[in-house]
Amino acid sequence: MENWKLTWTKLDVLNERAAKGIPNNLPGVYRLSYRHEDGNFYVFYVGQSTDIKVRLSQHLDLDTETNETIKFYIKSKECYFRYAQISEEYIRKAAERQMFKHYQPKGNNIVPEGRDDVRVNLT
Amino acid sequence: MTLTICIITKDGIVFASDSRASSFLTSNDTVKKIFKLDEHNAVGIAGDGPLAMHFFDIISPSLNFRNGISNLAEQLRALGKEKFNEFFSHQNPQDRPSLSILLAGYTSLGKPEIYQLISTDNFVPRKSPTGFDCIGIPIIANYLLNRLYEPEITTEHAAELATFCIKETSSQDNRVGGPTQISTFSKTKEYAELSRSEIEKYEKKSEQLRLLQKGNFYPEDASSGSSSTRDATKASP
Repeated sequence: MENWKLTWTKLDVLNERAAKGIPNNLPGVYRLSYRHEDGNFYVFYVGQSTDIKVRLSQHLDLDTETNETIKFYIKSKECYFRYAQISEEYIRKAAERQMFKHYQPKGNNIVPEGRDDVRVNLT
Repeated sequence: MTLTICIITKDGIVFASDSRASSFLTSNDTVKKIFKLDEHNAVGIAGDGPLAMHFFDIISPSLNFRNGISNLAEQLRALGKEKFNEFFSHQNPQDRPSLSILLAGYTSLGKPEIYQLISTDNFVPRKSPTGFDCIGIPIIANYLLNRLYEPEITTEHAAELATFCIKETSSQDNRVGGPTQISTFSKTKEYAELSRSEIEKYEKKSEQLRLLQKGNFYPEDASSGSSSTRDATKASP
C-alpha cells in the first residue's frame, strides 16, 4: 500500500473568476459540491486533470459541457470546488477512483480506473 | 452457498444466479444452478448442487408440462418427497442435505408464476406473491428487489437488476460469487442462456449503479483546506 499526502485547497465558489485564479497547467484532482438548504456542501462530481484551471472552465461553459448533472447543479445551485495538486498521473487516477468510491457522486457515470493500493487523504 | 433469483417481467421470466460452491475449506466458481425443464419452465437451485443435478436428471423425464406451473409444482413436491425419502431413508429429516428450488413458468392460462420448494419443508410449494423470489443468501437481494422491482420491468432490465443484486450480495458475503449466470424465457420465447459477453455487460453496468449518493452522508468540511497549493508527497508508511 502506497500512501500519499495531498494538500487540499479551501472550498471556493465555482465561477469563472475563481477558476481563473488557479495556477496555469496545474495537474491534480478536484471535486464539485453544492450548498444544500441544510447548510452542508454535498459533492456531486469528482475528477482529475492535467490542467485543473482549464478543466473547471470547461465545466463552467454550459454550452459545451455535456454532463447533464453538472449543468443542472451549476445552473440551479450555489456550487463550490476544491482541488489538490498531483503531478504523478497514477496517483491522480487512484485519488479520483478513491473519491468516486467515497462520495459516489451523482455526476460521475463511469467508475474511474486507478490503483486501489494507492491511498490519499480526502480532506 | 448460493444466490439464485427469479423475476417475472412484463415480457417474460428471468433466472439469475452466482456460480460459487463453497464448503468449509474450498470454493469454486463454476457451478451451474439454473436448469431448463422445458422451453417455458425452468428451475434455479440452492443447497446441495450435485444432488440437485442428479435429482433433476432422474425426475425430468417423468414431468408433465401440459397442465401449467401450479401442477408442475405439485409434481415436484411429490417427486421431491418420494426421492428424498428414498435417498435418505437412513437419515432423520433434520440431518438430510438441504435443497431449495425456485420453479417458474406459466399457468394453463398463460400467467407467469414462481414457486419456492424446500426439501426441509417437505417440498411444499409456496407461490411468490411479489413477482420475484430469491433462495440461498437472499437478504440483500430481497431488500433491493423490494425497493426496486416493479412489474413493468423489462426482461433486459430485470437481468440487469438481478445481476446488481448478486454483485451487491457478493460484495458483502463471500459465499456468493463467481461469474453470474442468466437464463430467460417467456410464453412465446424459448428458454435461452445468456452469453458470457452479454452478462459481462450487465456486470459492468451494475458496478456503476448506486442506490444512493453516498456523499449525502459525507459533506465537505467547509472549515478545512489550505490557501496555497502543494504537490502530493509520499507519506511514510
